[in-house]
Amino acid sequence: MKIAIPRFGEEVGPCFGHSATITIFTIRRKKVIDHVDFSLQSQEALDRVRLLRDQQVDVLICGGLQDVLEEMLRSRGIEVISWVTGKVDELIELFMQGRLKHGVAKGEAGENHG
Amino acid sequence: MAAQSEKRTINAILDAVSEGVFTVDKSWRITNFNRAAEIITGIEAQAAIGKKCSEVFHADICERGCALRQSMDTGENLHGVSARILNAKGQSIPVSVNTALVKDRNGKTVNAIETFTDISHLELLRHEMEQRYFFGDLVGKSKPFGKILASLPEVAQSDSSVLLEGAVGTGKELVARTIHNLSSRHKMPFVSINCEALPANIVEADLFGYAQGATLDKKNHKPGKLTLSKGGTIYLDGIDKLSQTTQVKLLRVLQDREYEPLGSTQTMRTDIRIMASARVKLSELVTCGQFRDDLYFRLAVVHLFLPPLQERRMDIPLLVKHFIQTFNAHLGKNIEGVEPDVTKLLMEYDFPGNIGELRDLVEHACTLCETKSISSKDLPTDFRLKLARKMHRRGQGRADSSHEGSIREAIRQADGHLGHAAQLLGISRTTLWRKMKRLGLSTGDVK
Repeated sequence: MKIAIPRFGEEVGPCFGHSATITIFTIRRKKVIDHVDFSLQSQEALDRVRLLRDQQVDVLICGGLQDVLEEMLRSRGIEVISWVTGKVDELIELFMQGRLKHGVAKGEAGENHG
Repeated sequence: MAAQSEKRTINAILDAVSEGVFTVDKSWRITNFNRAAEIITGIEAQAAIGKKCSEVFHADICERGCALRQSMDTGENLHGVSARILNAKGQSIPVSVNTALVKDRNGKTVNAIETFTDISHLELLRHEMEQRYFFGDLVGKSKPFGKILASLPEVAQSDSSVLLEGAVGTGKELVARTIHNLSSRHKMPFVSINCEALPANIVEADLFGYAQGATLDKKNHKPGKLTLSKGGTIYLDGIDKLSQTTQVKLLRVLQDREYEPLGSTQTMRTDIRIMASARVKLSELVTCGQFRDDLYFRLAVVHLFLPPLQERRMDIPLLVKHFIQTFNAHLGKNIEGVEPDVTKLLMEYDFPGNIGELRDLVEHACTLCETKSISSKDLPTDFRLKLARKMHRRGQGRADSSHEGSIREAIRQADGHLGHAAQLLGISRTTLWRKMKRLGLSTGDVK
């Protein structure tokens, strides 16, 4: 299973559509077996969608996400856990434990990790 | 006590300002968040205060050049920085940002202030004027629409021809323009030709151009749209109306990228992407020999079918909201939405003119609306009558014209006009009046 998380330093990027780095984790039996950072120079949101397609990503964990992009990703069969905040390593850990939930856009994302 | 009173005064001043205002401390945590900021972001001050600003604004500049960080680093205030934030609903809002620094007596920065103005209305007007649409302009959450949305990244990236099929008003040109603007050709022209509106020979001349002496205008030559849109996209609306001769010439363009202007022997080469649309199923025209099969297959490399609005009814409230925002910008109004009964009426109607008809209807309602919310009286009479006829036809199986409920419904739909109500019930005005008298009904009771 492949999980993508846009990264801003150690934390999840605030906005998927404009994130410059995306880390793609490969998970097997609840363990991260590989992770690769992808750098995106383009400001075009669809380039990020294409990256997820090319890398056959199953789940996107991200901060802010434009409604139409979220709809596009779901229509393509990608599971989306959006509006979360916090450190990328902690988020992936919570996901593997099955405790990561969608955040709420109303500034409460920090309380919605688990 | 004095400090608390001063804070209340500052908060009252901030809330009175029409621009969004917030302040952050040196660790980027929000310390003040005014009323306008709540409205623009859709986030309450209580939820925002104490959070990092990037967790609240989700702005495009958070990563690539935070305005507040620049101010903090350089010690200078910034003005008119363009940015986009995501509001609580996930909508992308264009804003204009200013920053200022708060310093202590020793000149050390203690806080930073950011003010921001929602400039959505300006962007909407600019998009409309320039007809530049992006995927954010495509509105909908229904399954049929989701399929089109999901295909956009690939369609935009490829250089293949696109055939868009769908009834009138389903948004074929909007989708074509969006694909163009998302493609690598977006800096080059998007040229549209309406093959239905023009006679066949004019379409041919318009598309391929003509050489000097080829037409009555003997002195001049005219380059065709294929030349003018070089490097860009040409959109042929109503391709099903293209003459057989033009079909052959267009096929050559698609196969060999070559053509000759009318009356010329000089072969021109072109580098364009072709998108075409048809209101009818082009494959059926191929079957009956009215459209070339080879051209059809060349055009339909990417084949998108845009569903009629009645197949994506759940998108109607979203589209209405989108159009209200558009017309607010055009008309300088501040309409917030529609009354619940209006949504119900819109969901009942079949919209044979599809999204185009819905857009016209919302424009009519926005023009007439004098309050914050569109009510049923703001809707066009024609729409209400058509809907009432539909409701009546549906109700015919259940109740006849003497049924009190049917009469009440017809009068309500006709907005109290007895002549129209009688028409809906299929009876004369006098008969309706007699039935109402027998039932003890008056128009006042019904409205």
